[in-house]
Amino acid sequence: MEVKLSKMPETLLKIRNLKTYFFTYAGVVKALDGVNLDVYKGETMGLVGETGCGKSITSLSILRLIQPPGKIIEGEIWFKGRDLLKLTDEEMRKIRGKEIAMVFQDPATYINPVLTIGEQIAEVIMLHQDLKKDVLEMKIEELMKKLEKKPNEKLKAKIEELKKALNNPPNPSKKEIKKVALKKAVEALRLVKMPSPEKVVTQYPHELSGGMRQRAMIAMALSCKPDLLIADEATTALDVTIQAQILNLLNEIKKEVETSILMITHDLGIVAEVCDRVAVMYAGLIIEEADTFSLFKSSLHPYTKGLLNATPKLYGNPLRLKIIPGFVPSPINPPSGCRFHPRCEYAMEICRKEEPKLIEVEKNHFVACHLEM
Amino acid sequence: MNIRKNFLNSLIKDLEPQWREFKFIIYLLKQSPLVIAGFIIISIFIIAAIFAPWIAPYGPEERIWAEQMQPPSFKHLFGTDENGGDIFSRVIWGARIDLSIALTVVGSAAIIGSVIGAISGYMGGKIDEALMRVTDVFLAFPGLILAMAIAAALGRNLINLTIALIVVWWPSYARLIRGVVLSEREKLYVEAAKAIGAKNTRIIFKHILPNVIYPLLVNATLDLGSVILTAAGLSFIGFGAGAGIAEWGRMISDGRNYLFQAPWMATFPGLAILLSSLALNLVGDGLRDVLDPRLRR
Amino acid sequence: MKMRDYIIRRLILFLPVLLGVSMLTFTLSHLVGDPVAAYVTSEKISEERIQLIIKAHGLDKPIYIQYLYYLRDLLRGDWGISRSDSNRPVIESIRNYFPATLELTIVAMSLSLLMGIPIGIISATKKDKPIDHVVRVFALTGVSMPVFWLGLLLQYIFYYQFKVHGLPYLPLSQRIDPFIAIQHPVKQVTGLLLLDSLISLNPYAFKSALEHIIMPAFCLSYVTLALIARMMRASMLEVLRQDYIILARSKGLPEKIVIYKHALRNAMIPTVTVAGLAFGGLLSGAVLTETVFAWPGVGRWSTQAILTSDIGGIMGFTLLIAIIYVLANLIVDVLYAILDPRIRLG
Repeated sequence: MEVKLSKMPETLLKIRNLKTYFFTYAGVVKALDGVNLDVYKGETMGLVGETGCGKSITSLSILRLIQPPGKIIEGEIWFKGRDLLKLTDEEMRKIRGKEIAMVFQDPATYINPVLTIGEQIAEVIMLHQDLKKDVLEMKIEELMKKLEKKPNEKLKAKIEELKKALNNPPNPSKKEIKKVALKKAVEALRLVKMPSPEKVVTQYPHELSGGMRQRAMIAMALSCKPDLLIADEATTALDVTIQAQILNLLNEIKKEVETSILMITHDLGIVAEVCDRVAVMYAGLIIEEADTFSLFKSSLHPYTKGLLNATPKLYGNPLRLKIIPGFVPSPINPPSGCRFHPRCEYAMEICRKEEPKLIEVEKNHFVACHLEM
Repeated sequence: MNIRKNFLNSLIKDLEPQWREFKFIIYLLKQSPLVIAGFIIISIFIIAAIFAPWIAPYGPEERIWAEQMQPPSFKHLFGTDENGGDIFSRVIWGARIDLSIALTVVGSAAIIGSVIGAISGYMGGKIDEALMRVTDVFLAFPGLILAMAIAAALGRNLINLTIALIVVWWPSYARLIRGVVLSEREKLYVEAAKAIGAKNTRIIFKHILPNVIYPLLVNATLDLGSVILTAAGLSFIGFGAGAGIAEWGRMISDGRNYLFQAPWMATFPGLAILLSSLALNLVGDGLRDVLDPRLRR
Repeated sequence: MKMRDYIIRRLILFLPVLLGVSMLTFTLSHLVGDPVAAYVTSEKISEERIQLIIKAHGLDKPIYIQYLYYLRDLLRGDWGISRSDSNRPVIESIRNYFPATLELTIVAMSLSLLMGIPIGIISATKKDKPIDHVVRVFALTGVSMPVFWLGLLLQYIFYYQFKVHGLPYLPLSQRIDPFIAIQHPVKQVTGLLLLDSLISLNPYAFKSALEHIIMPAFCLSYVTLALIARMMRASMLEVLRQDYIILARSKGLPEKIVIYKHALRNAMIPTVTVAGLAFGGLLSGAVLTETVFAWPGVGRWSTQAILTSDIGGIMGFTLLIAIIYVLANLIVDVLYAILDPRIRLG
């Protein structure tokens, strides 16, 4: 348990002591060993760490997509007043895609190659949204268009009749639902600034470029206006210019769709660019959490400092990059006490014995390090 | 003399990692109970085939007129046929025929096919095109039917059956080897090796050959099973073993006439075919599982 | 639009193969014996007539001209005479026997697909559970099974043993009970008895035809069933590991939709290829099965032809099979394109 002071902004997601283990033949892989994380409403929260520290596992755990031999064995994930880990499968499915949605790393492998883009966006819409009213509205719109061309008493009466039914719309046919869903898919593509969305909706993933595919995946995720969007290394597979476009896009539509973003990445540059707050992860634990400015300006944990120092800079006069010595610890057998201690130049006796807790050292700046205690 | 010795030594040293890998593959294979089972079963058949004269209680054409059509008993483990021949012995003698046909066919087809495929792949161009068209024509026929037609053309006996089967099976090996040679030839490390002056032989032995051997082995093992099935099938309809010969397919055909009175006549040869083919498939499958993900280097 | 072009393109590519096949059969006819025999009946005819026939088919000309005559004859519909089939023209023999084989093959293929695909899916989704092990062993015996032996086994159990024990038994051979064929004749529309008896609203004939086709069709389907189940399992397992399955689940889609909409379509692609390749096995198996069950199809005709050195029959049969096989491959290619948009548009 950590000690956190009260916060001002509203908390959307609250993860406490999340432990996700993988039971393999080689041993128990402790991918997440007590993760604590908060995401506030309306912000872009960053989650940084090296490859293999458990970032992606965190996102999969939030959505409860961990498959055997993995298992979430302990913890709480509070989302809009409910502990996600206590929900039934049915209830969890209703949340996936609707209230929490995810964008993945490689759009080439994460989009189904044999279905059209439109199909894959529409299915989310059809699943989570009640489209009865929309179907009726679409019918009314079509009839009104006909009315314009050829005014007709019968048509007018029909339109009035349909309008009255708007409060209690009838059950539409599957075909009509699909049609409406595809229309909404086009709108979703427009939202992500996809060129010629009507055409893209009929195309297959291999017909689009990498950047367009990523936009499509974002459209899929945002189509039902989720409260939380998890972007798991969403720009890693793209080249730098596209990366910048996608990041900008996410920033812009964040407000439009009223969604908060959990941005998972290993790239500190992205963090600096788009994240309001950021958490640093190491060996399955969060070791520092603060707003971006404070983290970069006055980072407290030696690991964070090491990461920032290891970034090549344009100024200064380094002959060599300052690296963090040693290797990332094995998740099967993590070091005792503080996991970073074998590589830490400030390691003390206590670091070997006791695992430090995540505590608020400065205002809204949390660290798990014995140096600060 | 010295140069030769040096070359051999360096070749052996070069192949050291391949040798280690080979030993590792054997180790992996030993882990799968199904593969071990298959290996044991097929070994039993092979031993039976080789040592038939010492193991079989009776000769292949030995007939005991007094003991015709007898059901299985201690004296005749699998019963007797309409001529008084001991089915058990005949099945063992039959192993000789069917297994040697299978080995001959697969061995010859693999060699012929590999050579043709290698030439085709390495030379490329018009030769490649022409050879591939030829294999296409052969592959346009289902195996059994093509073998039937060829056996008809040559004459109906076991030797011609073997030849027919070789003709049917070589194209798939040609295709296989050609594919491997093509992809290996283009690989950058071959260019790199050439760039540092490695001789062609070294390239062939160290790089191309290992990549060829493993898929070849997998296919050959699986094909052994298929050939046994096909050869027996052809003998069954009359295209291989002549009347009275102790060959599994032929025995089933003979046994068919007495299916209801003496079902054991057809049952045991059929079981032999099933078991030997099954064993080969188990081993082949196991090989493929072990080698396949590793092939994706 | 693109689809039609694709089909036409594939058809054109098959022409050289068909040409090559005709060359092969032509060569064989010269190896088997005197090519005249293909065009002559088994009755004794005068030397004059033989000479006339030789002239008509260009058999006195050099070999490459002979081949051209051969092609011309083929295209004209003159495929020779089948001596083993009462001296009927080969084309007529084919017309008589082919529907029987076609029906048997269609039923067998349907059985293989209808049973093989679901079995494969279940085996994959319930991996390592008991049902999976059962399926895997079954699949293994399937590819090792001698088809003709299986047929005999089935006959022994379902005809002989059932009969002996007083149970209702399945018939041993033929397509339909000859008594029923006389009492309730079936109108010959397609040549496929099951279909025709349905068309002529003839339940007796339908029942009889069904009883007769079940054993041989099952026997024939066994190997292909095993192959398809195996391939389906393997490709399903492969597909379920893919990233887009994770995405599908993250959208909140129910597991059934993830499996049947997202996974299945991808997993079907290699399975279709295997099914198409297995078709060749079905044709070979048909030869054996028809022999065991005395099924009046082209398989049995071919065996008779080869055993009696009926050159016309042999050639005709070989050519027919090659054409069918090529067509089957074409259909597989088309199916492939339907299932995988990357092939179509790429």
